[in-house]
Amino acid sequence: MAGHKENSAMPVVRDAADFDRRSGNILERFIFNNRVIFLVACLIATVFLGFSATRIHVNANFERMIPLGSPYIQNYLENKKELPGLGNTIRIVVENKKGDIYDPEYLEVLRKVNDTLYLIPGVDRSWMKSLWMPIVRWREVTEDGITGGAVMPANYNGSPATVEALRANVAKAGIVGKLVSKDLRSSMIVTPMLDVNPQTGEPLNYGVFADDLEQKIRVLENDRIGIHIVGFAKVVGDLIAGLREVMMFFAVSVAVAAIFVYLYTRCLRSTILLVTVAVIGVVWLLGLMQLLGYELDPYSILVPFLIFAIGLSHGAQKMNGIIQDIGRGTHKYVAARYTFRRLFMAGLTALLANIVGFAVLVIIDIPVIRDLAITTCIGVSVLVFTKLVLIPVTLSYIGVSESAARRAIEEESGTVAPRTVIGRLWARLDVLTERNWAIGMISVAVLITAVSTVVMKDLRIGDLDSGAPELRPESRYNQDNAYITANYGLSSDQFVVIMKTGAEGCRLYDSLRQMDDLAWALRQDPGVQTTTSLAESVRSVSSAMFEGSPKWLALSRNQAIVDASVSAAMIATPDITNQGCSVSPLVAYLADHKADTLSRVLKIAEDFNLQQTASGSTEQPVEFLLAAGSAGIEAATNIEVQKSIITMYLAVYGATALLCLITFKSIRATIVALIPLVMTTIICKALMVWLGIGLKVATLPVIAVGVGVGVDYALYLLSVQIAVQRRGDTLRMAYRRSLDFTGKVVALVGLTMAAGVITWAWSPIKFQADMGILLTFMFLWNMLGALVLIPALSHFLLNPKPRGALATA
Amino acid sequence: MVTGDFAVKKRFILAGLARVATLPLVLALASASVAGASADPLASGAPITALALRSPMVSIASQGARVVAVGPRGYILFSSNGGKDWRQATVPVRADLTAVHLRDARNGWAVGHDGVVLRTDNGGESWTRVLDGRSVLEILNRSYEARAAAGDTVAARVKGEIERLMAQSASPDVMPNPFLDVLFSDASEGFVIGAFGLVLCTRDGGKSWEPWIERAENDRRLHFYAAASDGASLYFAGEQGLLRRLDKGNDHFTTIETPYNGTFFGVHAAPGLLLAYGLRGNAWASEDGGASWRKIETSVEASIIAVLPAGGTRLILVSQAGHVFSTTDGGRTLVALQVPRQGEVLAATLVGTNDLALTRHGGVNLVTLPAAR
Repeated sequence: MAGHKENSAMPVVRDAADFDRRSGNILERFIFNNRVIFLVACLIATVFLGFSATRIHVNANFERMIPLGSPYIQNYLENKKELPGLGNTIRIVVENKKGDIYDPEYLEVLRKVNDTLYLIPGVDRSWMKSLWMPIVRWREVTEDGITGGAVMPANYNGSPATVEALRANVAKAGIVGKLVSKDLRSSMIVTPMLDVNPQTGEPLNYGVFADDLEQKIRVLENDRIGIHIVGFAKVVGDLIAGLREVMMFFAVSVAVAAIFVYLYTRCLRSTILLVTVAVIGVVWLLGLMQLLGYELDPYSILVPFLIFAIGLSHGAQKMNGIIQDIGRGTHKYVAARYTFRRLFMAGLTALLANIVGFAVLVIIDIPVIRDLAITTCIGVSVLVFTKLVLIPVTLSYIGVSESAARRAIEEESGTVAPRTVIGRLWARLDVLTERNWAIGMISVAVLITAVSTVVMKDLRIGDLDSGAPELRPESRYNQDNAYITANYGLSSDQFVVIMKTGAEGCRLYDSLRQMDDLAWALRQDPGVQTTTSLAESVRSVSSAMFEGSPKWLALSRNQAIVDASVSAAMIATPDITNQGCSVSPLVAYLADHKADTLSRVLKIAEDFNLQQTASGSTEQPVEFLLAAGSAGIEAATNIEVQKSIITMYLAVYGATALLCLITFKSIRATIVALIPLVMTTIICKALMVWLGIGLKVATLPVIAVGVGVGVDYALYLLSVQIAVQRRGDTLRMAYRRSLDFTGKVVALVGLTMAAGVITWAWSPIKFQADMGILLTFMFLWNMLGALVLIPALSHFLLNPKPRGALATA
Repeated sequence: MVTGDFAVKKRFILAGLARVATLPLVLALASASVAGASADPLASGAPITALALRSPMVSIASQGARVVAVGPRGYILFSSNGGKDWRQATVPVRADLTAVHLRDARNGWAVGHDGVVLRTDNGGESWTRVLDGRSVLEILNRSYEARAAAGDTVAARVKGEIERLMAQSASPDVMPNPFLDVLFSDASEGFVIGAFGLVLCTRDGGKSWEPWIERAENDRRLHFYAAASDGASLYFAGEQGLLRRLDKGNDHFTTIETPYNGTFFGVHAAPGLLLAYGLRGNAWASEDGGASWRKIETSVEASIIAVLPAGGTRLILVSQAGHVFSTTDGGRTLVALQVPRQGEVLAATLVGTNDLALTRHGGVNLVTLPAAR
């Protein structure tokens, strides 16, 4: 918000000694009459918070990215402990690029990978499976019963005979398509993960674990051997590695933003000051986050970027007045106090407005978004000190370069003619307040918005790419995932329904029959590739118990047979149900995780539940709870996102409208300020369709942040314009004045904010890149919209025919 | 089962079944849960679904161009053009089915779990319920209770067995065990046979049934897996080398000793050739009605699941792993036929003499046999 009042109470004072130190309000006197103490306090705070900042944890916690309030998610969280095998496994596929797995050299590398993995802390060794683990066995039904042994012959020594024995055992064990790929060119090592590091007793650090995988196992890859690693822990590890990379982007953002500020002020001294103070703001923020127990996660890591950009761009507007004052000959100390006096209240209001914009995000019931809202509010509060106080105080010592000050005065007096195309356009921008131009501009805007409205209809909910949606489709992880999906058949999009029964209830024929019914109902959908569950295992285990007879691929009503099958299934696949046989997962493997697929599958399971309830069997000890698994959680998240989007629009636009009303005290001005924002929001959604970005947790805050920051432009432009109009000038003159006075600040804010976020577009984390692209668009397009639409709209809404007071209706 | 080789006597497993089932907790919950009978497989028909075409059909039979396959959840598929196109039949139950038998192109029988017996008179397009676990239980109780009350000690023993079996059933009024095969030697006389020695006989085309459990020379109640007829006699084959013969006019089976003690999944009976086959590539032939036996050297580890007459003396043998052999001399010499191996074969039948319909986990597929030498 611009408070650039030309104040006659601030005369040019050339010597600080002539200045009345008792002038100004109590806060100004308190700060400027104790400058040294104040600066020392800031220095101490910076050192202290800087030290805290270095200890901030970098983590990627999935549970914070999901809507904890969703009943589906609560079902998952309540039963999570009982379902250890769900998702948290690591799969390493070792591929022989030059042959098949029956190659002694390949088997040796496989053994090395196996033994290395076995020793990495966090691996649940007792359930680790591979060709080299004795737990992987072959079985054979003979006339006397069942015989079996380890797949890897005990006497294996690489000789052709023992390799042949291995080949025979692999065939008998029926592990092709499971542990051995269908083309026999690779085999898999699968291990569940422990939650705690057994050596330290502390929660497992996925970052360290993933680093171990890269440094100890991936290094064995060469032109003969390919190594593919997938699993939850690896995704988390890759996210953490991505975060470290994103931190590096901060330097780029700082450099780019500094260049913009320099181009604006043309003063190296004050540019360095502004950048330094903005960085100090970020240091304070990180220190406070650490002290308050926040971690840097893939979302909150974006807050420092935003705070830096806001701090820098808003700080830069301080320079406007001070440079002009100094250019007129005022002493730097006095100029600094004048600036403080002029801008403190206005700046405080603007920052509070920003806080409101971010705070509304708290209503979204997803922890990362809440954290984002809260930490951004903390950051903006920090800016109140750094931007409003530290900058003027420091300026009172260092001042600005004389050339910059002179230049500012020359520009203001209009002696510098516009030289560039942009400069000439800029000079002609006020024609948009004329009728024909206004109609033309509004028509163009309406046309673009109308087209976007049509395109927007195709906006999808959720993630649209295959593999781990957090990472880019071309990332190493997703390539590994695609390789494993292609060669081992099971997709990584798992939709899990949890069957909950009383203790030992999973053994009951009736429970299993219902589970079987649900599995077959799910399989009807073309999006479901296959399902696995205890019920289906019981079918195959029953057949195996009866010597492999296909006639026993059945759920027998004979409870004794089912009981024995369940026991055998629990031995063969321990994660098929929990210890107490009361929580059993039904996993549907989906062809993709598109929102349509997810909602269809969700509906099948919900309808099944409704039918079960409608059938009146309320004493039924069987419940089917939705949902778990990556796809299940995503389905629940999609529902919350869809619900939140409306609430969020209402809150963001409501808060923004209220803010405008308070500032302008005019409904018409509020409408003029909001229309460009609404149009940008619509065009942004169309852009998402064009770029293939879905509406998801990550893109939800983009619109709120875009609108929250975007309204600043209108506040700057309109506040001056209305003030000038109230003095009796024409609309065109008022807008020209407003442009001259604040237009450059608007451009600067837009560009520095965009510079702050555009670097995310190169983040290895997909959703950060999406956020970066969209936020850059929102910041720039809101700026453009404000500059060209405010004059055009003002022609119709803020252009009273009779000269005089502005209509306030 | 983590280290060392092991061997488990399979009878031991089955003995274990009975012990587990007597846990009072399990039984109490089992009977409490019968409330949700609305979704019971015996209470509603099989839904028509494209999924049926991709399901594991476990038995298949043909008469001319008419082919019928049965599988899980009451799915029955039928084809009227030799297995090229399939449609799903209307079936009154959703029980898992185990066997199908076509008398001719129109009349057929199917059996399955939960004591289900179905019949069709329109080539498999629609089926009616003949028996299910409830009616089977009534028949068993009526028959054995009356005779036990009259002092028949054998019947009293069977009655006790039925009581113990019903203690294992998840539904106290449904006989829980499956029938595993069905055979009609003519339009009126037929047998349904199954797990734990279950045998029912009809002599009026399925209108009334008589339990024959105690007449099959099977005191250990081994599973009967298959029945076959050579026109003169009926044969039942089953676990532990079990083979029984019923001569026309008799109402009691006689034991045929076999040299094999593993499970026979099937028996092929033709005048002058008796061929029993099953586990681990075992197939045994007898040309003297079972007095002496000759091992057929299949040299495969997988079970033999079908022996199909292919015209004249030619027989086709199919293994569960997908091996296909041809023989014209009663199995003395086998010719391996090159048929694409695409995983497990669950059941097989010949359509005509040259097309082999194989059922797999993903559905039925048709292969043309390479020309015989």
